[in-house]
Amino acid sequence: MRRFLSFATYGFVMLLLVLFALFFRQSFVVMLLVIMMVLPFASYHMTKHALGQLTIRMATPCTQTRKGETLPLSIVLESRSLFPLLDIHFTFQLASAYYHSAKPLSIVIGTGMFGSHALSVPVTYEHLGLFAASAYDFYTWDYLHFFRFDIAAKQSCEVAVFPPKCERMTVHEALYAEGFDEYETSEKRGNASSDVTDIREYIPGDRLQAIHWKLTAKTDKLMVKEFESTSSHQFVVLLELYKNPDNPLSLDAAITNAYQISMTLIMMNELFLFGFYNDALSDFCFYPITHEDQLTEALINAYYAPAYDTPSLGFDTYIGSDLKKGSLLHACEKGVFDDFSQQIC
Amino acid sequence: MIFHSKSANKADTELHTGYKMALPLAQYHTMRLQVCLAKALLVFCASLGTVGCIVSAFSLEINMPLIAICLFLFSMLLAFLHYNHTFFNLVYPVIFFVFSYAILKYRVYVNSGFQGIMNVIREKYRDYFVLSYSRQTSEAISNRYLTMTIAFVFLGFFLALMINIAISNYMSTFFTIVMTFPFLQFGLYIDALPGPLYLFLLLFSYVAAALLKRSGHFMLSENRRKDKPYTLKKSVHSYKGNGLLMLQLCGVCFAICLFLTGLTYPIMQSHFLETDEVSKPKEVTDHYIKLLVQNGFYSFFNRYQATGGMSDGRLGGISSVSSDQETDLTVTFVPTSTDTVYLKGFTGERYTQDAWLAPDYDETELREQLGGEAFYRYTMFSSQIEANRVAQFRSIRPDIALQGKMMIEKKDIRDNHIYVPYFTQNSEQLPVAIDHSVRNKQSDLTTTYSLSYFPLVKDYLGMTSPYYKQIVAIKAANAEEYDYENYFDMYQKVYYKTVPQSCKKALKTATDSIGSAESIPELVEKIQTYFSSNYHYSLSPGATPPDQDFVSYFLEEQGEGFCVHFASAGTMLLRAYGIPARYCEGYVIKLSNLADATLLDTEDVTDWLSGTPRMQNSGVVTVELPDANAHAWTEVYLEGFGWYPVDFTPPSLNADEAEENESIFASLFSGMFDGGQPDDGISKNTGDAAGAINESNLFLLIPTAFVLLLMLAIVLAVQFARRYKCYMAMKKACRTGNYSPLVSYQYARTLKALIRKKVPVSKQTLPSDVFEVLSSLLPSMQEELVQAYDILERALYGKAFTSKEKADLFVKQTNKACKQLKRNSMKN
Repeated sequence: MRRFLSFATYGFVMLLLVLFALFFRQSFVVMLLVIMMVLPFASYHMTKHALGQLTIRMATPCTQTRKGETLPLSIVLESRSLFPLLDIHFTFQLASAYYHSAKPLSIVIGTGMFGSHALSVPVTYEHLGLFAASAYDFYTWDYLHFFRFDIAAKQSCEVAVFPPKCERMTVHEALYAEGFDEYETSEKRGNASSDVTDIREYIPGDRLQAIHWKLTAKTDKLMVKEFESTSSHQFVVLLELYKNPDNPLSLDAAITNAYQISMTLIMMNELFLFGFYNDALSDFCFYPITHEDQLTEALINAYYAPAYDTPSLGFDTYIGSDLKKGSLLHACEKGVFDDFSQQIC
Repeated sequence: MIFHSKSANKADTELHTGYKMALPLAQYHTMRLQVCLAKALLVFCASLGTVGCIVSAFSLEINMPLIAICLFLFSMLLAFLHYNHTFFNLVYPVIFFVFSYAILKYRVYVNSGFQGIMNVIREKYRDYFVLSYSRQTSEAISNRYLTMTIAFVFLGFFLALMINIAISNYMSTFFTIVMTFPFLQFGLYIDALPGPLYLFLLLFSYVAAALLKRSGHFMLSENRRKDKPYTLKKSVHSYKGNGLLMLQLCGVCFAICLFLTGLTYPIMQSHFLETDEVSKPKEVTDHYIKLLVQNGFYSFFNRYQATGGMSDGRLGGISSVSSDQETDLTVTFVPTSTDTVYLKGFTGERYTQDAWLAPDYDETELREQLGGEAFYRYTMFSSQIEANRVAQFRSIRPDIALQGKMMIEKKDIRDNHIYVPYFTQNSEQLPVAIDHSVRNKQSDLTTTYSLSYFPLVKDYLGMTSPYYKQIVAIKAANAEEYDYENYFDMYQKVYYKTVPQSCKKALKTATDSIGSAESIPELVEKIQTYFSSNYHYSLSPGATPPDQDFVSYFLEEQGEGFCVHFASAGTMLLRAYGIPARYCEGYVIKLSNLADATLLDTEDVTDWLSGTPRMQNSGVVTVELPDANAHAWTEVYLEGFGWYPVDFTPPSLNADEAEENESIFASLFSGMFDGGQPDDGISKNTGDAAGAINESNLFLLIPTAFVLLLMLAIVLAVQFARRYKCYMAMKKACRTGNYSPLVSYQYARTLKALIRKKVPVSKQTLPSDVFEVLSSLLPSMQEELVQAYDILERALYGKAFTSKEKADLFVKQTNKACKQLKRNSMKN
């Protein structure tokens, strides 16, 4: 509609000038007519030049945050052109697979000559999950609002929201299941005689004996060896990605419980497997966790998995399958339960 | 009162999306100064460009730097009024009063300046169209440099005021062009190209306004009424009002306009002066422009031309008579008395509703009556019967009777009338024989002619003079001519007493009012008294509606008019009394013309006059008669003598009132008031037209003041009505048990109070954010504020009514919060 109005106005002005030219029959009106005819071309090329010098990026100071914290999301439009861009339209959306998607927002920003405009949006993450922010459908109009220029620039970033830091959980004595002797030295981490299963980068807390010095010298990075666990016992924290339609907080609770129990195990220096059922793949994903960073990574992977609406699907599938990787700690919205459905915490 | 739509619960929405996001509003409050500065520059460019275009196009000599400085300062003041709402409300009325006071104080200079500007423009137009004359209005102060500068300052101020509204509030290119472009046309129409600087300034203001309007980067927060913060319904966020971007856009416009003007101006200049073929529409407008230049604005309302002398008997088509100050006739003679000299050119016999028709009697009847030679002799007899009688009287009384010679030269008249005084004798020198204007003779080629006449001196036939009887007693020498005289008398009585039906009623009313008279002189005097008491002289009486009788309309409705009105009405009144009368037009020589006459020292008075004039120290003079001396009067038939002129037109207020009336349109402000005297001793022109009280302009002042007061009253009434309506709606809701509107109303009041206390909230802030801010400022009241917000949220979004207790609680808590804030701020 606005484009139509712009054309209509332009046409009206041209018509007036033509009438003036016919009335006065003087060269100055013809000059004005020529100027008016040149204007759309000038406007087009000026805008095109400005667009060629435009860069768009989206940034967030941190891709991981905790629940309840506020992080700014910035969309920066930078122009290195002499010509300002009056209005750059784009659509912005922040959504998570676990929650309802809000309506995308249409935003209009102008940029000055050799200037930038940063739109910084503070976002408070109320719940857990992976939030994807995207800015797309960029376009702008020229000075006369005749020509639309679509800008091929799609920007996105993801923010993973984790549960807040927690104290060590008080766990039920049932956690100490048969086979686990608290006086027995845990060999879950393996020892020097164990086979090396993996070599990875050093994480603070790793044993110095595990450092692979030769590789470290070669790569200039501290590399450590992963030994095969000599213990047959391990915990399996199974995160139930069940989203209760009547209780939107159910998934939050489940993730929080899984996280807390995992952190407790880490604090107890327990090796464990963190896993979840990926409904899309119809398979389980397990990650060995010895450190918080591994847990973080595992949780992010869990966030990529879709939530399902069948209660205890993960647990039931685990029990029904041949997978028995250790003592199960089933983390769901109600709490953490063992494989006998006894609440651990 | 705040009315919110019952949108979905925000908390539920936040729960569903998993996050809370608040898009920040654009930072309108930064760079307000720069935004106002940019607007001020635009206003300055538009107003100075307009003024400069007129000045440069007509090469007016004024103090341009002074005007530029004044406009610059004024534009800054006007634009920065919008910086702050309170400042705006306070200062705008002050500016209005100061401006009005300045107009009143310097009205003489302003009026004179405007007259000067219009006179210069008219002269240029006259030269362009090669007109023989153009209207000129007199200037009270001769120092044009001073007066025009002052006039342009006021014009610039007025333009800046209007343009500021268009630009600062709406950034409207259309209204900016409408207010400024017509001034540009003054010069462009007659190929007077304005200076490049001013063209550039105007072009820049147009382009910048258009671009800024298109971009939206000109608005300050108070203008953004349509903007709302993020809501569920609104999904477009426009970050406009960027002051820096606005300045950059102005810079781009500046560069573009400079480039375009620099590129095109030399070409325009070189081609401008060429005489191109004129288009048909321009020819038509040229005609009206010429009319305007020559005869003024009111000429558009005239059905025929109102200057250049007589109207040849046409009646009622002139709305306003204007004078072109050009000399129509030059008359050389010896004045014999201080009485007015009438030079007749047209005689009207038959009256129609809108014209006097020249006599065109049927000669056949006379031929039949008198037959052949006798008819010829009759015409000879009747053509100069009065002159003959006065001549005969002169032979009897040479001591009082005079005979004079007059030379008349037609200068600016393009008609074919012969203008002759009373009582002219036929002679070979005259281009045509003078009869009693039984029919108008044609004289295309003659511009100068001489004649012999017997000057009309009042006490010849002063209506009480004893000589009247002696003249009347002079009869034809022989019986045959006596028959002619009888027939002549009979003819005049028949043909010059006709009164049409259309004006009989009006004449009856007038005659009833005038009453009867014993004699013609007494009746004439009574009619003159009647006119001077009940009607007044005006050169702008307005045209007679086409379907109305001219005399009736004048007598019953109009009440004012000029000589044509009084002469026509007087003629018809005499006819209504049964006295033969007819209508005449021509020129008059008044005593004031004699004062400006040129004395011809080389001429011998005895060659021009025989007899003793009543004026002492008279001599041969040449008098120039402009079209202001065109006049209409009545001739009354005196049995035994002939046709005698009488004048029913009452004296006018001021001879220059005609010019002053023409200044109404040009000097609307200052022309309304008494010009007064300038205080600084600057010399005035001889004409005091601009200084005279223009009574006819007072009629503009009262209605204008009334309209302004009415508009103000309407605005105030609307504001009051809105508030009253909201209040009554709230009361009504409360009566039904619904206190939600009351809660909304209290919230609105609280928000206003918070804004006044400089709390960082605005009308666009969400209620939840407002209460958050309040909670942070009043930590001791957090629980109460949470409770209050809950009540507010339910009132705004919930379906259930708010109870009285909840509403009272909300009111109590919000009032408490405001008081606490006030105490805290006082402590600080």
